[in-house]
Amino acid sequence: MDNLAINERNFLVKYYFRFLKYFEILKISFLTDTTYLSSNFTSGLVVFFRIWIFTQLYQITYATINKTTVSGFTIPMVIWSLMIVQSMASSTRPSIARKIQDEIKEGTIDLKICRPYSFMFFYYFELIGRFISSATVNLLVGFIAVLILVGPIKITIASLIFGLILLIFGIFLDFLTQYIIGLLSFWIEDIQPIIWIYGKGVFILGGMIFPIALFPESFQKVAEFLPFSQLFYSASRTFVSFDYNLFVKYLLTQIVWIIIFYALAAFMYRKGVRNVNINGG
Amino acid sequence: MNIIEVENLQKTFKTKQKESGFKGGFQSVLKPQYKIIDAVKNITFSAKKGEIIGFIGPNGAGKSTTIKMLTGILFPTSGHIKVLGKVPSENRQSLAYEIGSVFGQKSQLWFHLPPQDSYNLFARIYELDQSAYLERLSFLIDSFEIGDLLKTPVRKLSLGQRMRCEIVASLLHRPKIIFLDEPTIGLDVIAKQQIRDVIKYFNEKEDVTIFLTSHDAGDIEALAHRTIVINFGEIVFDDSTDQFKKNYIKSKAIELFTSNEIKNFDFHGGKILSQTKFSLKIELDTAANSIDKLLDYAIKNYDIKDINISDPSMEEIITAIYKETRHG
Repeated sequence: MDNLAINERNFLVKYYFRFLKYFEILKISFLTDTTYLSSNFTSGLVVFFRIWIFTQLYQITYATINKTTVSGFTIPMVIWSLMIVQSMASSTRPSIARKIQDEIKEGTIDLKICRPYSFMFFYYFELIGRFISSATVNLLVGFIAVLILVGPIKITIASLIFGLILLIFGIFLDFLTQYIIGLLSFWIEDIQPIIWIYGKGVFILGGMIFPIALFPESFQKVAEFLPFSQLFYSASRTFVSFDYNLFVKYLLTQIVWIIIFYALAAFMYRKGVRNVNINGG
Repeated sequence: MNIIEVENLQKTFKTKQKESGFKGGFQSVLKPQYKIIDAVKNITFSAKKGEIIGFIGPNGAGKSTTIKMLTGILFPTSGHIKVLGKVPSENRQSLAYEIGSVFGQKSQLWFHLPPQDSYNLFARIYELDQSAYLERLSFLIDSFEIGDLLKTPVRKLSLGQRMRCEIVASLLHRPKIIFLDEPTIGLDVIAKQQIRDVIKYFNEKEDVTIFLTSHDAGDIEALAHRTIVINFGEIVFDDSTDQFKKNYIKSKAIELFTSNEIKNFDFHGGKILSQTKFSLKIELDTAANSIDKLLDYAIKNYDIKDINISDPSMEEIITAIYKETRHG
């Protein structure tokens, strides 16, 4: 296609072609991920196993304190919440940060930066392609696990819709954070410790082992403001127990973090790409 | 009209140095030391539309660094580049629609999927109209004879097959210039020839400018109109390939393996480099004697089991260039 012809396209057609470009990246990433369907099922089984352990732990804890609800959460609500967070978080792995680090280290990043697409959105849609395939399996396995272990809970249409909105923003926030950590590879040799710290942050403050609602109130406020809880916990909380005010608070928190991280990511890429240092090959 | 213009181009890398052992590791954190590497030193050249430029040199000479600056991947430390009238580092994305690139040691195809999937992706990335894309792809499939490879996952292709598929990917959007970085690296003789044939075909048929790096003088001999030799980041030769051949590919090394003992080898015009009971390596001045003559002589007098013909190595060519520069 002649570049002139591309420039002559009208506004709508231009954006239609751009949409197709990123959709195709999503599609090819989805296709690649489905070639490893067995590994997706293994990851699903890990989710199953974790849910089983958490069920045992929370049943004992609730029995010990002799309560059926804590901060409005019953055992099935806790387990459903944990299942959703665990399934979502597992579906965004392997980490984009590690992928970017490997490409910068191996020098294969040059194949990405000389193409007519946004470097950031290439990785984002690649992640979404993988996410769709992995999350389908993880949620399916997780859904079966919670139904067997704790039974169903009441999920309304409103909680599904609003939860989904928070999930979409949460996935993008998780992506941006990992993308920023990955971009640090332009300057530092090994980002593994930062990936580790981020992972542990998500683990403790992201609702992967305790729903934030179970924390003491003051700690809850801090945790809800941090980005970790806004990745998947906010969505899972809305799915299992919908509260409109909480939804608005979560959404605004997500938007603030997304604006900050997006600006930081764009700045870091502009600076970092000047730092590309590919010798030979 | 020049479609590539390079003036006083320089690229310097800063590489962290580290002593071995625990102490060295500790020191490199507290007091990091850096080494400055001048990968490309003040080079100037240009290329015209439809030219095949052979950009050759030994490993570490600065070939890949130059190609990466031409495609906008690396930012020059100083100097000026214009490719199709654009500064690559400032117009990387818009330039990408007009150029193609193949990096021999890295694959742009998705490793676990068949090439067809990668082609569909590239068609979208380069915003091609579907009908134009399908027509173009079908033409490229025929030209590169890759019809039977389209459904095989890339990881299962041989290096030669993969390279043909890589070049097809770089031609889908009808680029005006193709940058080929070591496209024949690691290929056997037949695969190399196939790649050379298709490069030549597309240059002639579509008037595509080709910027080819290689450390194999044979690629240049077979393809390039003009040859630029780079060594330690500096251009040491820039002239027509005919001139390059005349000056520096004057000889071929021919290795003969026989099943009977080599006795009384008496061929005039060749210099024996090494000899064992059943093998002989001879340097032949191709301006004075043809390979045919030598082979005729060998076949008549010995029972030939195998033959190896090779060009002078890049190191030998560079040495010859330096010798001539000193004496000239």
